[in-house]
Amino acid sequence: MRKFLVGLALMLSAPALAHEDRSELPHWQEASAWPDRIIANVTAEPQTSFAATWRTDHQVGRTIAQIVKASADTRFDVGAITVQAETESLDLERVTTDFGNMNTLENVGLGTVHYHSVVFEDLEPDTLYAWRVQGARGKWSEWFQTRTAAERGPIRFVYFGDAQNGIRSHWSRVIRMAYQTAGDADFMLHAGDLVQKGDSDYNWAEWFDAGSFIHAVIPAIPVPGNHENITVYNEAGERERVRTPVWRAQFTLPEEKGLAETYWESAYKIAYSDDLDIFVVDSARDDFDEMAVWLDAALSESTAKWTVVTMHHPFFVPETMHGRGRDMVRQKAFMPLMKKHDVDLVLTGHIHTYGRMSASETAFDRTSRQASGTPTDIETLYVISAAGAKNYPVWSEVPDTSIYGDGQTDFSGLSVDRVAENTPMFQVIDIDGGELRYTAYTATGIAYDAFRVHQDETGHKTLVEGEQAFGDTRYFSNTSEHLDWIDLR
Amino acid sequence: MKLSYLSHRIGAALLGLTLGCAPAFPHGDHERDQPHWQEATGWPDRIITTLPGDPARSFAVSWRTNIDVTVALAEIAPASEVARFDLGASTVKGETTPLSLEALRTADGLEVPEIHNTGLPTVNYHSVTFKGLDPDTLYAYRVRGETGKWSAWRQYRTAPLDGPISFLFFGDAQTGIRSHVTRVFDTARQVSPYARFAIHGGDLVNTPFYDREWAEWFEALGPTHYVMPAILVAGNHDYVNLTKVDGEDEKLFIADKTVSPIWRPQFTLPVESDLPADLHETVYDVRYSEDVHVFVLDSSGIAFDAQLAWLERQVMASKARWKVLTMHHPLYSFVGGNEHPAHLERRNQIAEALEKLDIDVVITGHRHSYQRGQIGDDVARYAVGDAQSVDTVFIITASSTKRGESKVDGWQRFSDEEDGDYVLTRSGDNVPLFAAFDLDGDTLTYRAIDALGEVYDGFTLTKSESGTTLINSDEASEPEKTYDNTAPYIAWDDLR
Repeated sequence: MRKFLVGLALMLSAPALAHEDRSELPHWQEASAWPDRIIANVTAEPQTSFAATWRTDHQVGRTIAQIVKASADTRFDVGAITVQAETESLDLERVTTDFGNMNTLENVGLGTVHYHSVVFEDLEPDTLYAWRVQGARGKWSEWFQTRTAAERGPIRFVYFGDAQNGIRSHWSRVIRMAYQTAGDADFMLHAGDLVQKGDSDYNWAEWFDAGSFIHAVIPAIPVPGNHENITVYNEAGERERVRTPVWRAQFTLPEEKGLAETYWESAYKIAYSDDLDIFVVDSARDDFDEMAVWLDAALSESTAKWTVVTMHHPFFVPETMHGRGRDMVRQKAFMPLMKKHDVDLVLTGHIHTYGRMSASETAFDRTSRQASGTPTDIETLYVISAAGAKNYPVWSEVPDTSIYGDGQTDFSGLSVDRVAENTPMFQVIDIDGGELRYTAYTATGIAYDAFRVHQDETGHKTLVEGEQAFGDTRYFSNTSEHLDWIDLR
Repeated sequence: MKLSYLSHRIGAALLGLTLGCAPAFPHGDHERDQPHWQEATGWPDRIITTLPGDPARSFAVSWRTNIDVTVALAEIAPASEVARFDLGASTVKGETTPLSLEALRTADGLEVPEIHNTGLPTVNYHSVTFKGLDPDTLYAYRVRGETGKWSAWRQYRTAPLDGPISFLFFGDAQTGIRSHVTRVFDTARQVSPYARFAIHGGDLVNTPFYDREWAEWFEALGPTHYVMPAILVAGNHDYVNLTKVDGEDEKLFIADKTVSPIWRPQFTLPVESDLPADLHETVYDVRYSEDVHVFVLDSSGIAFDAQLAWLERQVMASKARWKVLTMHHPLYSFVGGNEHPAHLERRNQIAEALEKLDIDVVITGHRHSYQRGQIGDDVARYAVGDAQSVDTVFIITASSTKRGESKVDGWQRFSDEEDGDYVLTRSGDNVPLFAAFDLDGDTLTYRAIDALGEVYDGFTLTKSESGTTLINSDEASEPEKTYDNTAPYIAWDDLR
C-alpha cells in the first residue's frame, strides 16, 4: 500500500468506463462495487497486527473494514470495531512511475481501479480474529478468520516458488493442495514471479482467483521477482526496469525506513516471533549495495532462534543459465552474509526447477549422510523451487559445485542434495523450538524431499535427511511429456 | 405458517410461491444489479461434485453458465506430479438444462413468477458424469463454458473400496450464508482436510428459489466441493409451496409443493426410479465404500410410506459396516409449541422402521440448535468414559445464524418401556457446529466442532459381535452452551 490518498480531483478525472470492452472481462477479473482480490499480509509486527488489501472499481471512494476477536458464538460479529481504509487509485492502462511511464497494452480498456487497505493494529498475539472488508456501502466480503503470530512457540509456513505460468489453470491445484496439506499454516511465502507479466491485470486476476479465500485467511509474504518489473520510458526516451505499481497497490507490506523508498514493500524484515526472523530481499535489481548494507545490519541485530532469507533469484543456477554478470554481482553482495550470519534457510525461485543445497564447514555429500544415518553438521540450506507450469532442466547429471561462483567466492563444502525436473512443488516448513522440519510436496500431495535441522543452545546445527530425500530423482527423461505453457489460460 | 404474498393471477386462480416462515423481502430493481459472484456468464461457476453412481468408479460435476453456452464439455486426466499433467486428458460431453429463474413452471404448465429473481435471465446448468475410473485415485478435471473459457483444473479423489475414511455433516446453512456460514465451511476444511464427502442436511438456503441465496451458498463453500463430493438433503426451505386462493372466499391454501426448481439442474444426484418422480434426487442412497453407506430421506417430501419401504429394502440389503441415515427433520426434538401433527406422525413411522433396521447414526438439522442423544438398553446421560450399549445415535446440528433453543424434555417424553430409552446426552445453543466423522474399521469417532475448530462434543462407537458400544469424549461433559452463558444473540435478518 502506498501512502497517498485518493483526492477528489483524482476521482473526477477517472476515465469513463469503456463498458463495451469491460463486459468481455471474466467475472473473476472485472472490478465492481464489491470487494475482491482480498489478501491478508504479514506486517513487520505480526504478533499484534496484520494488513488487508482489496480492490473495487473506481466509484468506491472511502470505505472501511471491520474486525472482532473470533468466538464460537453465532453472532461473533456483534461488537466488531470499524477501521477506516486508505484508498489508492491505480490507472491500469497508463502506468506512471517516478522514472517514467508506459501504456500497458495488456490492460487496454480497463481504466482505473481502486485499491483499499487497512492495518489491523493493537491485536493480541496468537489470537484468532474475524474480519471483513467493504466495497460500496453494504457490499461486504464474507467474514474471514486469521490468527496473529504467537510471541514464541511452533510456527508452520508454506513456501512457493514461481507461480507465473498457467496460474489459474495449473498453479491453482498447487496452492489448493498446499492448503489441504497445511491449512493451519501461519503464513504463505511466495518467492517471486507470482505472474508472467507484472503489469497484466489478467495475470493478477488469475493469481487471486487461483488462491481465492486462501489469500485472505492465511497472511501472505510476497517477494518481488523479475517478472514483477516493467519497462518504462522517461521523457528523454531512456528505458528503465521498475517495479510494477500494482505491487504496492495490491499488497500492504512493511516499509523499511532505513532503505530508500524505492525498496519499500520490496525489501523488508519481519520479526515473526522469538523463534523466527524473516528477511525479504529484492533481488530483481541492478544494484545491491544499499540492500546488502541493510541486510548485514539487520542480520547482525537479529536475536531470533531461526533466520530465513528469501529472495527471488538463487545464488546457484544450472549450467545452462550460468554466468550472467548480474548473477555474479548478486552472489558477491549477499552470499557472504549468509555465512557471516549463519542464516539457516535461503528460499528462492526463478529457475523453474527444484534444487536443495547445503553448505557446511565439513565437506560431505548426501550419500555419506545416508550411509551414516547420523546427524551432520550444517550451516545454511539453499532451496530453489517452482510451483507453476513452466519447467526447466536442472543441472547436468552429476552437479559439479565448481561451476558456481566467479573464482572469488569459496564454495567448498557445498553440496547439491536433491533435485527434480518437471514437478511443480510446494514446501511446508515447521519450526518448533530447536527443530526445523522441511518437506517439499508435489501437486498431488506426495512428499518428495524432507529433512530436519536441529539447533542446540549454542546455535550449532545438525541435519538429518528424511527418507523422502532418497526416492528416485524426477527428470524430464523419466516423467511424462512437458509442453510449453504459453497456451494455458 | 403464514402466507405472505401472492404474486400473479393465472386464469381463475391466484398462485404464489411461499415457504415456511420466510419473510417477504422488499427487494426490487436493485436485484438486477447482481454481484459478480451471482451473475451467470460465459465462464463456468457454481461447480459442484456429486455421487450419482459408484463412488469408487465415477463422479459427477455440475456447473452453471449463461444461456449462450449450449454444450456441456469437461475434461479429466489422472492427476500426476508433472507440470503438464493435463496432456492427454479425455473429453467428456454432458447434458445441458436451461432454467428459467423468473418463473416456476408447474407440471400443469402454469407459470408462477418468482419475484426474488425478477430481471434475472434464464441460465443453463450443465453436468457430466465421469465413469470407468479407478478407486482411491486422484484425478484432475475441468469444465468449460464458452469455447476457451475453462474452469481451473481441480483435483478429486475417487472413493476407496474399503479402509479408513472421514466425512463431514453440515446442518442448515440457510441464513447469513455468505457472511457467517463461510467460516464454518472454512474451519471444516482446515480441521478435516482429507474428508471424502460432506452431507448438507437440508435448508441449504432460506428462500428455495432465490438465486441470490444459492449464489451465497456456492460462494460460502468456495472450493469445498471441487475436491469432495456433496450429499444433499432437501429441507423444508428447499421446497416451494404453491399457494392458491379459493375462488369463493379468497382463502389461501397450499395447493401443491415441489422441491426448488433449482435443485435438480444444479445437483446431479442418484435417481431411485422405483420411487415417484417427485422424490427423484431427494430420496437416494450413496454406498460410499464397504465401510459406510449413507441413506437420504426427504422428510419434507411426499409418499413417506413409500420412502420408508424403500429405506427398509436398501438398509436390509446393505452389507456396509456403518450405516448413516440423514434427512432434514429430527425425530426427538421439538421446540415448544411447534409440534406439528405431521412431524409426530413421521417420527412414529421412522421410529418404528428403525427398530427393524441396523442404522448406526441418524443425523439431521432443522432445529437450529445442537442436540445429540441415543437409544439403547442402558443409556445414561453424562456417562462420560463408561461404555454404553447403544442401537442408534441421533444428532441434530446447524451452521446458520438462525438459532433455535434446545428443549431437553423433548427427548425424555419418548422414553417408555416399549420404545426403550431415548436419552439426550449433549445439547448446545447459540453455537454453529459441524460434525466430523472418522471411520476406521469397527471404530467410528465423532466430533462436533465449532467455527473456531474447537471440539464441543464427541464420542466413539465400537462394533463387536455383541453389539455397539458408545464412549463419550471428555468434551461431552464440559458445561453446555446456552443463551445465558454465551454472547448476545441477534436475529439474522440484516446479514448479507
